[in-house]
Amino acid sequence: MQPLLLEHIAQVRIQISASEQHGGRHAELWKLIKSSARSAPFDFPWFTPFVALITQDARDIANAADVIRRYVGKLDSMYFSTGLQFHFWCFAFPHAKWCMYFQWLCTIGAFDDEEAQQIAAQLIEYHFVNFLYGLRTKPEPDCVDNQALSLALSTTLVGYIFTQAPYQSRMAEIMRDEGLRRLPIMIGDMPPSGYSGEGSSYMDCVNGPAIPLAIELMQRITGQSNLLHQQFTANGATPYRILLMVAREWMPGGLLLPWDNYGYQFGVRAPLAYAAHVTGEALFTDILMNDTIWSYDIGTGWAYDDLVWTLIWWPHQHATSTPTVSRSWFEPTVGGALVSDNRDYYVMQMWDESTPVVPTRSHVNPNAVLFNGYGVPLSADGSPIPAGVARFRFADTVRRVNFLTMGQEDEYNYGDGCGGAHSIIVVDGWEGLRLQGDGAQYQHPHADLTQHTLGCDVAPTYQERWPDIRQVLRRTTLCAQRFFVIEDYCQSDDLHTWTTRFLLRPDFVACTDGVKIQTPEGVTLQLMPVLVPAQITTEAVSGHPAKPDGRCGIADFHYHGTTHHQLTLAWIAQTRVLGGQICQFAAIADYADGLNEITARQQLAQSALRLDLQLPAHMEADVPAVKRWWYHTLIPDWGDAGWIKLPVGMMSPQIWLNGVAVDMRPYGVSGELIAPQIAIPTDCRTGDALDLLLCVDVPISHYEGGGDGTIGLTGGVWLMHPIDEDALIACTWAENQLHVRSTSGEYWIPYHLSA
Amino acid sequence: MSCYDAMEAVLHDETLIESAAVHGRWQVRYAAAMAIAQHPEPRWLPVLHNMLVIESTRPLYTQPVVQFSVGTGDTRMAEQIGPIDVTFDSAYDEATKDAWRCRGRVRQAVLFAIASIGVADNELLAVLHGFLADPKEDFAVKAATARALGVIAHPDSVPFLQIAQQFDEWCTNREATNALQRIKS
Repeated sequence: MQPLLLEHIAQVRIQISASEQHGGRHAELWKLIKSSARSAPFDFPWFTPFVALITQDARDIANAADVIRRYVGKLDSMYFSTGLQFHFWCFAFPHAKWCMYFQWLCTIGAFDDEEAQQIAAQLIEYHFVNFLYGLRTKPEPDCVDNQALSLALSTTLVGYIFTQAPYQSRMAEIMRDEGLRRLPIMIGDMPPSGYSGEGSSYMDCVNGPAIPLAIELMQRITGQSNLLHQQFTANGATPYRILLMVAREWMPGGLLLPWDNYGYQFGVRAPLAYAAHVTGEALFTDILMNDTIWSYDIGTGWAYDDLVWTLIWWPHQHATSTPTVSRSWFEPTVGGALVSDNRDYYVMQMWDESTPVVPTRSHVNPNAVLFNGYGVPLSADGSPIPAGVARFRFADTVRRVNFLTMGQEDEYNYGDGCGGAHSIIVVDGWEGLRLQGDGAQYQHPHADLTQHTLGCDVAPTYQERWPDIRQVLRRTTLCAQRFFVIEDYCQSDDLHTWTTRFLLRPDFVACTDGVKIQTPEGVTLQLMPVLVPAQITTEAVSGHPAKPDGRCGIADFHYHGTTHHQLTLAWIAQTRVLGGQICQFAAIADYADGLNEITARQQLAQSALRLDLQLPAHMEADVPAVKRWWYHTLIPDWGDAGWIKLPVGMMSPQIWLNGVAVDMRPYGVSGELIAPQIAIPTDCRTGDALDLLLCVDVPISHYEGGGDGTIGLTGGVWLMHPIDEDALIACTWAENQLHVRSTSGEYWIPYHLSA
Repeated sequence: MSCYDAMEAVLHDETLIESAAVHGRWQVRYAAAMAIAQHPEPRWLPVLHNMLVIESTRPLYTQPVVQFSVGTGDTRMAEQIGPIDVTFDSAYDEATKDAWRCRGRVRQAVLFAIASIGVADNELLAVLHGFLADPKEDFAVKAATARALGVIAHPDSVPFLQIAQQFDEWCTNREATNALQRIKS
């Protein structure tokens, strides 16, 4: 018997052994997984079975067998949980994974025959009464989403495992057949774009990770090959298209698009590794090798094993080169992104369809635009803080349901899914824009990526309420590899107020024309009306979106008439540049969480351990997985640096600069996603060394994020230097030419208005 | 015979269905309904009806809020391994707790078995209509009921399906809509 999906286990062991000798990213990843599993096998249980399978070490096998026993031991308690009873898909997928890991462990003799039969019986019965039941609640063929995909895949997987000898279960046979009947349809009925409309969370954490497993499993069951490019239903998605859309959700800097539901987050790696491994396409390898965060740990299909599958599917033959490819894309039913060749300037425009009536997941974002500059997000989108906010809570967008939590009615507001919470055109001030019917929502999507332009008319979204509206066209163009022009052209029979709205990260700063923000990272975005003057209002919103800042600014450009035709220039600039990296920090573990600034300094002075803060200490060196670490260095030569860029993902950071505590509260949320930059006090004199002391926690369990994943510090410490901003001065349009002047350049760009 | 073995047995051997349908363990009754769906014949309708009668005597939906030694019982429990203990607000007998484990599972399996047979007498139809009219019934049962009624396609079901269409849960709503379209066609 060979481990399922790892029939080439001998080769995997050889590859891991070889990379241990030669080092590199693959070796680092294996070390991370192995050291986590060995130091805390029940806190990192999703790594433990794989480690046992690779090492075949008796202690690793015993730990892994105990993980399985502990999992089986929790099953009965789950019956009394809201989670299992009402959200069974979240439990189905990890259950299937544990069944697979049980099968793996059986191949290395982790259980005697009697115990294996007992465990198998419990696993089979549990899936049969809970998750086959769950799969059958999902209407056919209507229901195609992450939940139904999870149920279909997990039911197929569990069924297949336990139809094999020595189990040969009839329940398993029924599950395998029912799962296999629905699984191809579930994939094939995804939209042809590959985008399920559920936002980055579900695309990246459920749909994407499900695809490689589904393909590999179906190929084994059916004997078919190359299912990655199989179209299972007419006009539907191929598995490849789903993985491609997962890749397209990555923005420069490593964050995923914040569209449609939960907002900005990091991405997972295994779907990229699989796609790179199977297709060899540079896009997947490029993102995997250049943009991923390795200290990020989150449930993929509610299982914290993304790094395990990344290692399994590691694209050895492609990973040595790190090609850069165009990140611009266009998908007629979704939207597209325009990205400058140096990736400093990014815009995404979307017209993906929203869910009528209650737009919880697929938000109402017709022609919304999202900006990113120098790897930093500039736009705001997503969901509010958990407590909710009043700003987008409308009188008719509050819903009360009694099927989400046992014995309790839940109230939630879906106003943040409506049009007004997005960077769209708001008509007549109706921020609660959403549809009631199933009709078309856009028309005439078009793009010419060679000319760096794309656009769409989303008038149908507005026509349900205002039948006189004939056109709501938005065309976005990247000009001179430097700036963007957004052309809005709206036409109606009746008079309307047209508000071109932008939701932006804080904070607004002064500018001569239009509006301008500067993020805490020193990146600026100025939006300037070009064709006609606009009445501009700004508003600070607290609590929306939750990430990265817990707040945003709304900039509204107001117009009135039967025609609204405007060009808005979007100009991105930086005010700081990256300097040298600060390496070789003295480091100590704070085993008992008992050190303070003074005692830590004393011990650091004696420590021979030197670390670079590229990763949590136990991932960076051969040291135990300890929660709290102290680091210290003197920076003798910092030139004219104005800021120190710290690692992203520091938990509970405490920083002292020249002995003075730095207030890290402003980075309390954003620091999870964006590297904080702390200012060097103005009274520090060039020539005097800077004294930097850090105290940082790192996750030592999958579960510290409370279900939202964990991130350990990553990225190192860098100096940041001020530069003169290439600021926008003026922009005009005449005779089919844009004339743009900035403090360091002048551009004459041919631009023909839309007819 | 273990519960697992009894479930396997009834799925292997059609002659065991009648006894399994009244078995003391709900998991075995669930398997019996699944077995009927594998052999869909009208002769099973009285057996299926009786299974619904058995379920109607059980306190399926009376579970109080419980405490867990780890977590709060929401979806974040999915990723955890054990041990996780559950504490009730009072002492309850095992039969009651078993009903809470089960909730609508047996009902759903019975409803799909009825759907696979495709017919039901008026008495059984009335039971099914009752599921749609009961605001406390689990959505999994309502959705399965709507699907079964769509297959049976009796015009008396229309007002009940219209009630289900108003229920603010997507699966039920969609199954009811599909059923109404099927009846009208």
